[in-house]
Amino acid sequence: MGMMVFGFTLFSFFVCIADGGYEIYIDHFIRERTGHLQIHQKGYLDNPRFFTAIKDPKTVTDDLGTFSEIESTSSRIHFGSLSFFKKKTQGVQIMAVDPEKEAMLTTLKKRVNRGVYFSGSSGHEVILGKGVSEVLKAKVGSDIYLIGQGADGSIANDSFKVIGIIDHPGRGMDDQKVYMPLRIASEFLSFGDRIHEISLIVKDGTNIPKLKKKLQQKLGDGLEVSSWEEVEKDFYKAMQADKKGDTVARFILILVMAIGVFNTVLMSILERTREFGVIKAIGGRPIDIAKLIFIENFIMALFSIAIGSIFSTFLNYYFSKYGIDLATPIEWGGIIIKEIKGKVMLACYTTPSKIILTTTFFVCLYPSWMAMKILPSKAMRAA
Amino acid sequence: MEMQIQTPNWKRTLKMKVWTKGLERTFITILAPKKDKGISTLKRDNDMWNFFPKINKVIKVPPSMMMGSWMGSDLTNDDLVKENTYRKDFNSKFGVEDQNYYRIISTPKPETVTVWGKVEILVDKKNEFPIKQIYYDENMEKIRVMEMKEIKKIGGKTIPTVLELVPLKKKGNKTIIKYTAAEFNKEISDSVFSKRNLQKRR
Repeated sequence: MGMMVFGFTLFSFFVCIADGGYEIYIDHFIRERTGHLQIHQKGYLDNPRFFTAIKDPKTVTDDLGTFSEIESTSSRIHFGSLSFFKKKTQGVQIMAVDPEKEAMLTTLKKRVNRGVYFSGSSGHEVILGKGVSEVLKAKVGSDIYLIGQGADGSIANDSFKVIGIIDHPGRGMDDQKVYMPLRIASEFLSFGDRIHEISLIVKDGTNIPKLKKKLQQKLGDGLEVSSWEEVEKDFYKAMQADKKGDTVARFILILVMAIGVFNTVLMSILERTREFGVIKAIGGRPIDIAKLIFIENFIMALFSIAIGSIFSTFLNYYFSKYGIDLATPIEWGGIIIKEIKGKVMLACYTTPSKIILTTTFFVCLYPSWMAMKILPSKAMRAA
Repeated sequence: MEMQIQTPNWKRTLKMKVWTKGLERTFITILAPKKDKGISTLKRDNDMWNFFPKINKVIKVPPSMMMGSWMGSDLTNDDLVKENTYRKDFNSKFGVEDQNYYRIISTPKPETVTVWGKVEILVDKKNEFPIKQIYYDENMEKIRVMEMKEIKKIGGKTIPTVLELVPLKKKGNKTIIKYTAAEFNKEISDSVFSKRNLQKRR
């Protein structure tokens, strides 16, 4: 039974860290980057051209307002520009956001750790990623210049005050970015009311495919509604490939557990050969012996699940609260991972339970068959 | 002069004042629209600079940006810089003429660095004015056509006062340059073509 308890606890912890860790990471990814769903002008996602823009965003956001499933939305413009500060220049990618809505949708406001977030004033304010500020040698309070192509063919050029810098360890997705208020970007680019993207967060993350379908029907063919997996399909494919690697690890874990349990069950039968012989000698049927073995081991499995659940709860809770700090943060998909944390979920109990019970069933088959075939005379001669 | 720029996505008209001395020196300043007023371009020999008064910045146009558009038009920076090299960097000969036009074929000399494989100029036999220029790339594919129209007297000279440039690979694009007034053979100080003048607020 010890092997079963150990196996359950280990597998539960694996699910907590691996699956739970992925869920936490995806949640970060969604909150920091994509939102649950994004809306673009048709064709923008495959070929993000400047003029492939949503021309009437007000109608779209009004339509979105009729869906109670949506928690928050934020509009964005994406464009490139040349930035200058004193003698330094750098090409930058600019994301223009609605400051208030973006703060509700993503963690952008919290990520600004030097200076301040957008004040909502009409001033020309920008927030720089660490990489941009390092190349330009610009600090909070510096005035930088941006030159780009206006939507009316003009040369968009103006000065902007750096009000904040996103400066975290590692090179995350903010590193080479510049953030700007949406209204200021529209003026700078002579873009009018047009936007490139509406990102949205939903209240219940379990029903996204259904909502996506409903939104697409409501918004029509001119716009496309995409899930985060479609928006970041390269990253999603990489994540799926990584998860497949997990499958191998899980298989090995199950195999090790199964071998351990099998060994235990086999030994317990071999040690009771004489007893099984007696049962058969007094009229017990082979099927009764098989039933005995199965019931015995299933009861043991259930006890193992109960005890394993207690141990794994403590272990999983600890790692979900404190995690493992990484000495060197790692960057993946633009998100900086500073610690590995688990998540306590129902699957931490249901998955190992199913594995234990299934494994128990299969490992009992051969020993039961052996026990059924015991000859009473031979069994009782065994010492 | 006026420059009308049309693309499938937008349309705008620039009003400009231009000074030229020979073919080596050009100074252009934009008078309208308000958003672009004061943006100026200085060309001296093969060098070119733009000045943006809003940010008080002079930017030299690097060689890598020479094929880039000038102010969003179908003219490239290279068109403005290299206009003087036609005579010395191209070999020209008469091509097959027809009833109404002379045809002049200009091909770059072996040492000339240019994107054009050939330039064909049609000249009206009646008045001997160029009326069309067809630009071919290195694969001899037509890339753009410039038509010279509305020949009239301006500033004492008779010249085509409207130039219409159509890039053949960009559907819906067109740039039309109209000379609204001109003065020729006036003395222009070299200081007009200085960086100091470029940075002057107008």
